[in-house]
Amino acid sequence: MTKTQKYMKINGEQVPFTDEKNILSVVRKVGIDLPTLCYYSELSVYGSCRMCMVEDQKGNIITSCSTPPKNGMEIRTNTPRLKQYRKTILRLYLASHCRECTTCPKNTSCKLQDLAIRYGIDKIKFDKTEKAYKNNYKIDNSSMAITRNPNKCIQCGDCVRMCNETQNVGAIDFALRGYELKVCPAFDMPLAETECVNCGQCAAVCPTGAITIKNDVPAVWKAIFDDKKRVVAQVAPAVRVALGEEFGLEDGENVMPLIVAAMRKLGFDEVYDTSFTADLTVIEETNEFLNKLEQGDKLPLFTSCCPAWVKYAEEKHPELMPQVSTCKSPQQMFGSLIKAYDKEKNEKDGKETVVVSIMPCTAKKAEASRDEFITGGNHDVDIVLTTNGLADMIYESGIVFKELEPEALDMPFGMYTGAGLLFGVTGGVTEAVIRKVIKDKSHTNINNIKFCGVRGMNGIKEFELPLEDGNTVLKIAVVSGLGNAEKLIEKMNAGEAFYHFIEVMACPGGCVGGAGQPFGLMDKKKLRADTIYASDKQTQMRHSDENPILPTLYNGVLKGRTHELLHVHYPVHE
Amino acid sequence: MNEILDDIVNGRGDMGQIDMLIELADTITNTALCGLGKTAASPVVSTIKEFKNEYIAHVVDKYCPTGSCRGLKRIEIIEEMCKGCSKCQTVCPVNAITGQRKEPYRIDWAKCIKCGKCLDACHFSAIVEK
Repeated sequence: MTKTQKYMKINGEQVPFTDEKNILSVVRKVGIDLPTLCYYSELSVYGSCRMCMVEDQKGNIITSCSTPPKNGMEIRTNTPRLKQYRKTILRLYLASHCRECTTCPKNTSCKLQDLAIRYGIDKIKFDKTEKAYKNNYKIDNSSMAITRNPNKCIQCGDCVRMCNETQNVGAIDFALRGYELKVCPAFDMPLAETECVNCGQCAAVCPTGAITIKNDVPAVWKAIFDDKKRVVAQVAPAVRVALGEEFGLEDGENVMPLIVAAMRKLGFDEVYDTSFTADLTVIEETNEFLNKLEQGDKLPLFTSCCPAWVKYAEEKHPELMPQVSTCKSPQQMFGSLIKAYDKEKNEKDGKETVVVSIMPCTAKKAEASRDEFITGGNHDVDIVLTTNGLADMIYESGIVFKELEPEALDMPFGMYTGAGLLFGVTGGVTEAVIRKVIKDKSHTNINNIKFCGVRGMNGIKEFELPLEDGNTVLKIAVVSGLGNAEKLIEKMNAGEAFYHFIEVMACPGGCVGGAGQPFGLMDKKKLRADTIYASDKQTQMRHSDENPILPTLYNGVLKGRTHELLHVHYPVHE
Repeated sequence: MNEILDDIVNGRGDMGQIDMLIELADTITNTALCGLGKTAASPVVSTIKEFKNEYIAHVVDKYCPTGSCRGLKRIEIIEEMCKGCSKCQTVCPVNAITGQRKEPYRIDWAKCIKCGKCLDACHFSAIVEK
């Protein structure tokens, strides 16, 4: 169907549009960045911030985010009235907002600060009112991943919609009314005691510093400067395609060699790749899956790589927990594996291994601190940094990231296959498992997998995969975004669908869209995913069985200990 | 806006606050999300339009022309007429009136809540409201 071309006038200029859902997107398309605090194209329209207002030909003030464009409409985006209203509204926001910008974790990346600069707000005017900022609220840092500072909240509702609509978690919502209105968990409980899954998407969309990711950088510095510690780092697949953005490199560029160079300069003793243990996960998870399939156990098998999904299943669907794979996530496999591997060496040197993971994820922070992952009183993974956390370390050290010379990972755990690399994107785990399951492992056949429906940024992907034996057709589903997972589970419970294997990633788009990454909407996530697929194509080894380090491990440190080191049983709460 | 009006009727206002009221009312009327919000500021706007001189009297002269603003009232004891009977001191609910018997009493305006009890109690019409 051809789209009908319609026209509207923006600031006197004729502008064509077709099926844009609101005036805002038409205006932004013609290169005018209307300010918004509460609008994300991927969330529902809320219209609370009143910043995106435009004036129509009759002099009415309308919010462009919640008004669809009409043929023949005339709007102005920058009139004296609009300017005055925006300024007054910003002043009101700022009056009730903490203004200690220099010590705020969101300093220089805060949308409110940005708009205050754009509109030249030099006086607050309303700072003597009852609603004015008084630092009344307690900071909630109970959660291992997310810090809430309600003093900095401007009540735009972005986090609430993200948590409720996209993630279907509902850990936070608006409470009270009028002046007392605030965003908080039910009964204002500490976040750690709620059903929050630590996915961090609320922090990713928060325009101010009201919800931020816990900063673990000081702990890493402490470990690095301690001679008695062997600081071993693992870098997750999705980190390499996002960190470059922070330093002005191209969106989605693979900067792994630069990350390694930077991390060596920062003082990490050994830099490895989580893609290595992702390979290990593929082997273990595929074996588990094939076993279940053969023995006729209850399927589907859910993946367990995403700690936010595991927490979600524990909280909302404990009945599914027996169907969640017992494999540890690649991060935790790496932690337990490296600590077992280094044991002898450490005893000889009198050192202690500290595992630092660089993750795109905030839930990994909470995962690492779970009781199930403590061996002999020590956490398998000691400190988890987000991509942004690593960027902070690089900034602090003064390393000019762009000018670094590329370096290679340490061995042996820097050896990975393309299959392991794919874990960074939605559908990646599934594709890696398919690569192990299929018998014809030629490059062409592996390349052809991408046409089965496993790739792409859709929230729910369902497809069928005929196995080479000719009898079995595997039904597979890949979901990203917990709201989508819920839809799929409902469908299964209603008996409308059956699957053999389901991959769930909590963040829309998979790990590339994790909350620890520099912020990006779907188009940016797609670029990151494309780079991961391109990098996978360039690896010599495409499926996990090819990883040459794995056999030595299975015959060495893993011998007789695979269950202990690579699997976990989460307690099932009724 | 409510707080600014409170300031004005209690004698804490200044001319800038009238402008601020107009600015806020205009912004709220034109940008509020809900219909109730769009009309909420109208009473204030029309009073400023029709009775601007009264607003000015409140903020500049600290005087309420109609005598309705309790915050702008002041209750005084006329020294010459006070016989020092202490009746007013007895009825004052907030102990704002002090003095010695047979000498003129005084009102502490910081404590006074302008309830008017002393006005009624005084037999000598020595207490007046200004």
